[in-house]
Amino acid sequence: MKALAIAWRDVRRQFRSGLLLLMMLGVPLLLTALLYFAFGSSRGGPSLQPTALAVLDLDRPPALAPVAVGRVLDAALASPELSALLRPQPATDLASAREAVRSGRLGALLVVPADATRSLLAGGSVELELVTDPARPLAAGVVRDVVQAVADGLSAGGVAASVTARLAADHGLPDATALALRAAGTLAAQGHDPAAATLTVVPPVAGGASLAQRMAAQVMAAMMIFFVFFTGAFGASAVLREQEEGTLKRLATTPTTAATQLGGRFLGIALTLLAQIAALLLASALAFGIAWGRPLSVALAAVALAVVAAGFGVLLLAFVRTSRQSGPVFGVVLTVTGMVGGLMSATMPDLPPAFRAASLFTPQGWAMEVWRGCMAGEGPAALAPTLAVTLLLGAGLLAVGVPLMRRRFAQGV
Amino acid sequence: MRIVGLRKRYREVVAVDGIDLEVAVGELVSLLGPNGAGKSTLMDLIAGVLRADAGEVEVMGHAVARQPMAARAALGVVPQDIALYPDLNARENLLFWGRMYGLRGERLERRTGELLDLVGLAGRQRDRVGTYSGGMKRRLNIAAALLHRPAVLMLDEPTVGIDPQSRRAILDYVQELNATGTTVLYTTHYMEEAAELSDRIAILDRGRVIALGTHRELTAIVGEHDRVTLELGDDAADADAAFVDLPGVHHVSAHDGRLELLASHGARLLPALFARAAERGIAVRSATLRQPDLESVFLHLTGRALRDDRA
Repeated sequence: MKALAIAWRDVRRQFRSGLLLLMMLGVPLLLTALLYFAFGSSRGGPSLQPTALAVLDLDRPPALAPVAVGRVLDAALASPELSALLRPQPATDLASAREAVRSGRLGALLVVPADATRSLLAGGSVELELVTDPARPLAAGVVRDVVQAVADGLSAGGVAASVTARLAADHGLPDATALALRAAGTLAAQGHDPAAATLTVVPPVAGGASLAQRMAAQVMAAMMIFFVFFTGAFGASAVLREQEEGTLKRLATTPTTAATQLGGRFLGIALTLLAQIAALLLASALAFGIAWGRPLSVALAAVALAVVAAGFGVLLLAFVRTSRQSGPVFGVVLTVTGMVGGLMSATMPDLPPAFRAASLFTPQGWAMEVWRGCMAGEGPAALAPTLAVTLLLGAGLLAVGVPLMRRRFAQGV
Repeated sequence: MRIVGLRKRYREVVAVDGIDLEVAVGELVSLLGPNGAGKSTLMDLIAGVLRADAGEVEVMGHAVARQPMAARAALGVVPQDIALYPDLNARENLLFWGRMYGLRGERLERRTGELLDLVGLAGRQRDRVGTYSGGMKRRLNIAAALLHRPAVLMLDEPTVGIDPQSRRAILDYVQELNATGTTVLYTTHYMEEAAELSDRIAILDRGRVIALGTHRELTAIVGEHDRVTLELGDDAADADAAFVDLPGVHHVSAHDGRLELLASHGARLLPALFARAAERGIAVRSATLRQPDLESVFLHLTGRALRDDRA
């Protein structure tokens, strides 16, 4: 009961601080809202300006080919489903198109190689070149996703053609290209138009979530982790404030054991963090329509985040002497580790693998991995490895931090 | 309460140097001494906040070192500085501290209400403590130590820095509590408080009890010596040598622009003091003559004034 009283005291004190409430709930929601409204808030689709995409179609399909990669891509990219995302236009010259991307007049350039159709029909690979503007990473991400979706469709067709050709060869029929050409001739004789062979492209906003919602989800997860770590650190540093207020010493004069005090403090931090996480999840789901994932996965991710944030906070406490120091120290350490942990670049596509690897040297990086899995719809079983690492990391941080804390605050904890 | 051979050292400084003291049930004992005499350290050792280097403390038969929880349950400690949560209100503070002493439910609610009434804060109980005046905080600081009706109440300089009205109220609470059977250990460097409240007074200096007894017993130590205080101004520090050889002067101490003298028949000595001051060119702004008191005792025993910060 005493531990509960200590925990409840801490929760109440945290939630009575206007500044802390702003940091815990206001700022992460505000940052997410800014991004959400910048990219459009309607659930039906994004209001992001369509990206001007130049398509340089160098494809020279064989005569009577049943499909022409360049034309299929042109048609797919010009489909109404993608009109809100892309504004495709033909390009005639590689150098000038590249220059247009570099100067920002075009958002991206897609180059279809001359042997694209021939390679596809032969069961080989087709290398599409995508040139994007590095200054517009979000547009680049959208174009890449769309082109990837189209290419995946073509690739599936290529695989089907390849398998058909192999089966034909096994049965003594001519080579694949000749077979395809013969088939195309047959189709043409029956009135089939190869140019009408198109792919149905699903825009990269699957699952009913708009681009703004997807962006908001990524940013919200990152901001939630960032500010939950702040709350964890400030929750742990409450003991410094108590030391300065004299209440820590007074507590040591009461018949309350150190274990009870410690348990109460951790319970208080955990409850505060879980309340913060729950409030952020709920508010962001209501305000931005973010789907966080399966309930059990979300609950486990919340617990893992609370444990690792509390552990990191307790460890950081060893490096500050006064509550006045705690602000700058926590600010610097949590910002740097948050950046390395990938919280500031959650929406950026094409980050180097080394960056992702580096993020796993920080507790924030692991927490982000857990929430990525959650948002991807992973169940507890699929999430288990990252959850386990994150929880173990939190436990390890506590195992190091708690003895330091107890030694430091010999009069009480 | 029984204290035997208690010792505590901080590096080169001996804060408590072999203190022996017994306080009977229902007794009110004051620890009187200047800043740095070891009063607060002694309180911390009794409360078990600090671990003694040597010696033993027993509270109501419980050894603090071996049965800390039982000893603490018998103690109510009022720290020198306000130790309350400024962002909780008075009621929430009392409920929290009550729970730390094991109180629950109706008993805790009732006791909280009683104490809010006792310290005159019932009308402001829903206001955050951070908005209170110094005197209100002091009163609440005391109330937080009384929730569990402790057998022994320890108050560490509870009247420092507050208005006379709140000070009077606090002294009255302490006397009332003591009258109802609560044993009280009260530290102060105000001799008037010690003289008014105490059954016995322990005078501390440099970590040791240099005198222990009733007010009458202690003042008897200095016999018929009066205390004469001369207000001199800035040149007092070097002026003590000018008076030390006057007949009837037993001791001279200079501090804070004042000279404190212990003298037989102080009234008769005053003309000689003024004459010596005039002779040496020392300007005397005022002179005060007092009958023997605890300040005289401390001056007599240590050669220093009770409020002499150089102690």
